[in-house]
Amino acid sequence: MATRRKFVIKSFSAMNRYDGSQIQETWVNLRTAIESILGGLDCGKMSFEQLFRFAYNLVLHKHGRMLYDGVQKLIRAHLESTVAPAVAGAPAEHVLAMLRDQWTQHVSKTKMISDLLTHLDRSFVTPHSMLRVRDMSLVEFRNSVLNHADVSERVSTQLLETVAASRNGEETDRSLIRGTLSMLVQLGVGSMSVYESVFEERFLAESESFLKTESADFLAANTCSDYLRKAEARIVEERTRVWEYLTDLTGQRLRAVVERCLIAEHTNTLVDMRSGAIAMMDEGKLEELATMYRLFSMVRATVTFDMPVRVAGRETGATVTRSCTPLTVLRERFQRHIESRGVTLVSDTEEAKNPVKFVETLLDMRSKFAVIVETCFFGDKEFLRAMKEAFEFFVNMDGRCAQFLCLFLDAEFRQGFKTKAPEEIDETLSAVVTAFRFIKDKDVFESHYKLLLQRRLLSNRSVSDDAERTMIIKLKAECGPQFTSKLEGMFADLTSSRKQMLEFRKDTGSSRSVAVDATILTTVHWPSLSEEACRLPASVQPVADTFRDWYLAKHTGRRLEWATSQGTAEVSMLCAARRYELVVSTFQMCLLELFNAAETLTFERIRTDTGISVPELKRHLISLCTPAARVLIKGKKGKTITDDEEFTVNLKFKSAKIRNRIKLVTLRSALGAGAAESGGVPEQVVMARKNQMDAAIVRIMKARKTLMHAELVNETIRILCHRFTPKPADVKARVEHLIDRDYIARSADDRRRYDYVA
Amino acid sequence: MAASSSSQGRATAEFKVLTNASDSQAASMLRKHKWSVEAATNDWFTSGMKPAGAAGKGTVSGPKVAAMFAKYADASSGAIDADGIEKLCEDLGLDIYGSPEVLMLGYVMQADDLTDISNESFTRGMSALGTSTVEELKAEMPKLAARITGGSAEFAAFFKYAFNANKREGMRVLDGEVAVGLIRLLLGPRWALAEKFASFLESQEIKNVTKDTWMQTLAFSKAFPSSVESYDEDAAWPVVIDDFVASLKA
Repeated sequence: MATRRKFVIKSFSAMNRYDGSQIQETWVNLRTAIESILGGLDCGKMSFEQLFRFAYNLVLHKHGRMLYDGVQKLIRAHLESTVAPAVAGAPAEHVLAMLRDQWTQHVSKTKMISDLLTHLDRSFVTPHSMLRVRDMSLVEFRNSVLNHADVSERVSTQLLETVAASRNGEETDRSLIRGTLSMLVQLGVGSMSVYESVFEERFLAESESFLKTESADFLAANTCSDYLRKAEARIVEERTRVWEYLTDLTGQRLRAVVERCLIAEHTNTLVDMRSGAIAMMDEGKLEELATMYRLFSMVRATVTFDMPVRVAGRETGATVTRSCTPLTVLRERFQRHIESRGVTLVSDTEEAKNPVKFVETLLDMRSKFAVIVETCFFGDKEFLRAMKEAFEFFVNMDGRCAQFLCLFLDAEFRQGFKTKAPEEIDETLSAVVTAFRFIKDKDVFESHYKLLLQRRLLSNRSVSDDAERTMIIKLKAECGPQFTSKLEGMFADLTSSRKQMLEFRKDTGSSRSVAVDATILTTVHWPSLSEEACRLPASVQPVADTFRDWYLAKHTGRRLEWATSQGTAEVSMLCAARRYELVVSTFQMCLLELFNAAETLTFERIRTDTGISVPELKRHLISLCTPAARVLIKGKKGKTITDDEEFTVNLKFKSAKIRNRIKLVTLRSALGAGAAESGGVPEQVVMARKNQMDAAIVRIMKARKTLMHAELVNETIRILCHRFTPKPADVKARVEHLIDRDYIARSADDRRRYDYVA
Repeated sequence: MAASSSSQGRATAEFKVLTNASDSQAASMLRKHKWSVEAATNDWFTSGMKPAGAAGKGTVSGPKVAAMFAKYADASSGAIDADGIEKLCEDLGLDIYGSPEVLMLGYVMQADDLTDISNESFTRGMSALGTSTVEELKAEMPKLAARITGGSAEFAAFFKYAFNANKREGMRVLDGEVAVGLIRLLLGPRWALAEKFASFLESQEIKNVTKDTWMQTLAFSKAFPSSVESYDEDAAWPVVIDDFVASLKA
């Protein structure tokens, strides 16, 4: 067996040999080295390894405290004797540069020292929860240099002055600032307190006062658009500043200050000033308005805003001060502006006389503000809503808008569309539908529309059947088939009438001196036809009877009545050997027929023979005596007609055309009469509403059996709101009516509850 | 069911105090109305029920009542008509248009129409009151007056009777003028706002008052005895009451 070599583990004798003198020696060596490092000299003879071991040994032999304190004293002495006086003694303009240089050196020296003392950090500092050597060195720098009576204040001032210079457009050494600020952050040793106290607090305060003065001065001397441009540039500049040398946190704080000083505090001025947002809307300065929106939308700060108080949709003149974002202020003012423009339009008495002009202005307004929302406010949903509410507000102030939209369409259908291309027609109709959307009382619109449609259809005055149908389709898309069913029924009646007439002619032949062309109207589809009637002349009556018999034979169980207040007739007139065709109303046909027997007739005679009511007869007679178509000659001059006034056939009637359409003089209050009553809602609509409310209430109660009052009212309003919005008091009145009619009853237990009575 | 029977017991006791009914009468009446004392009491008084045992106090003499009826009834129609009731009122010392006691008398008789009181109604009324002569009836008048101003459970039924008895033949509603008069007459002594409400109805020239509005007026007078401070517009009061409150607050 080979002899085994044994490894004996012995204690490291050198360690044991460490005693007082050796410690002293080691420390002296180390101190010398550190002093030379601090003095900026070469480390000297000692190698890094040696020095490291010295430090290691000191710590190992429990002399860490001595080492740590010794190093700290050395650093402090160095800083106090050399560095602090150098920085404090530097002239103001150089203090930052000097500080930076000293700092850079100190950092690198600290690095070297702390590298030497790695073991101290690990084995002594950490267990004793003290500052690591590096951090201790930084704290020493802070205490001795930065907090030196002549340094801190001057550094602060210098920093702010440099920033101020840069804000005034001067070139500045950004890296110097960045370096100094990063030093401040590091000197906090884990906290931002140094940075905040020496720089940030004062910087933000300074920025605020600077921006406030600058913005106020600029705004006082310039237009809103100029200000917005300037503010935007300033915001970009400050953002660059953040990016260049500020911390993110300061960046956020600065941003808040900038937004508050530049925008929030001037919000009301920017909106209301003479060149402000309102003026921009009026003058179509879309780009500037977009800038404003962009700037406002960045700001989260709130501003105080005096919001007008409204009670039941009316201004009271009082205001409440509310706190809201600039964007909200802009939106509120935008909405009020549209409203005030709208109210001006609605209350303008000149516009009130001209529906076409009124609607054109309304549609222009809508498209103008729609463009503003789209391009300036980037289609912001809240602004869209504000616009919608504003339009709804003034459009529904009275029932006129619904009526005027119908009159506008009527004019277009009769005349305007004749010269328009299909695309243009579609565009107009779409615009009308958008305006129609604002109207709450859809049933009022429907009632006017139906009446005018009836007039157009029965007098055959619509230029485009396609356009009429397109409009119906659009309304159907908007309000559902229920809304348009009667309108469609009117068209269907006309189509079927044409078919019926073809059959009638085939069955009876058409070789007659009087030809009849009947239009069969289903009573429910057509607005109540005027009850004005007249006696048909003896020559016409048989033809009418023939048709009636023919029709009733085909359709048993129907009732047929002649609506003589409607319809037209073509009559021939022989004058001076020329034959004229006159297109006249049914009433006129009847009265003209009388002149076949006599050349001159009195008013009274015509009245008794035709049975037409006095106002209608006057209207139709006057229409035959106008200079444009003087078929009859009035006995006396003037516009009034007396009972014994004589009318004579104008045998010298002359016209360039063979065929002459006699225009009817319109009664002044043709449409206005019904609307004037009950606050713009026509009488028949009021009646229809009562029925609809009754039906809705009964339907709800039938389904729910028992319901609280408030719920019933809400539900009723909800069901009906697509046609009109009933007032709760109206619904309540109908409920009372239904209780009285025993459809529903108050519950015995709770008087606010209703029960359905089967 | 224990809790429920104790609440039923309370209801029975309350009902008996109000009506003097016997236990079995109270139980059947209350059961009919799901143990609602108010509903049962209303029914009790409207249907003219009498406490068991109290029927015909024994002092009512059939022939005397018949003689009294004959005195006031119109011989041809066999009923007390307008003249008859006027004469009766005169004998009782009542103002036919200004005394609520007349209406109360009609209520006790369950007469649909005060100007057409049948023998049956008359007899029913007299036996309920325990009177058989004009003198006895006259002596009973203060008690009738007390019934009007007194207990509230009976008053609702009486108030409803007043509506039915005063509306015109074949009409569902009460004439506005008549309603205003009745409100002054019946609610005047019990409701601080009665006069204001009556004059409001006059100022609005209300044409007629529905039964619902009539009964709600009573409920309103109970809910707001003197002030409308806490009035809630959404609490299903009739429109005319809404308007009245608005006029008070304006």
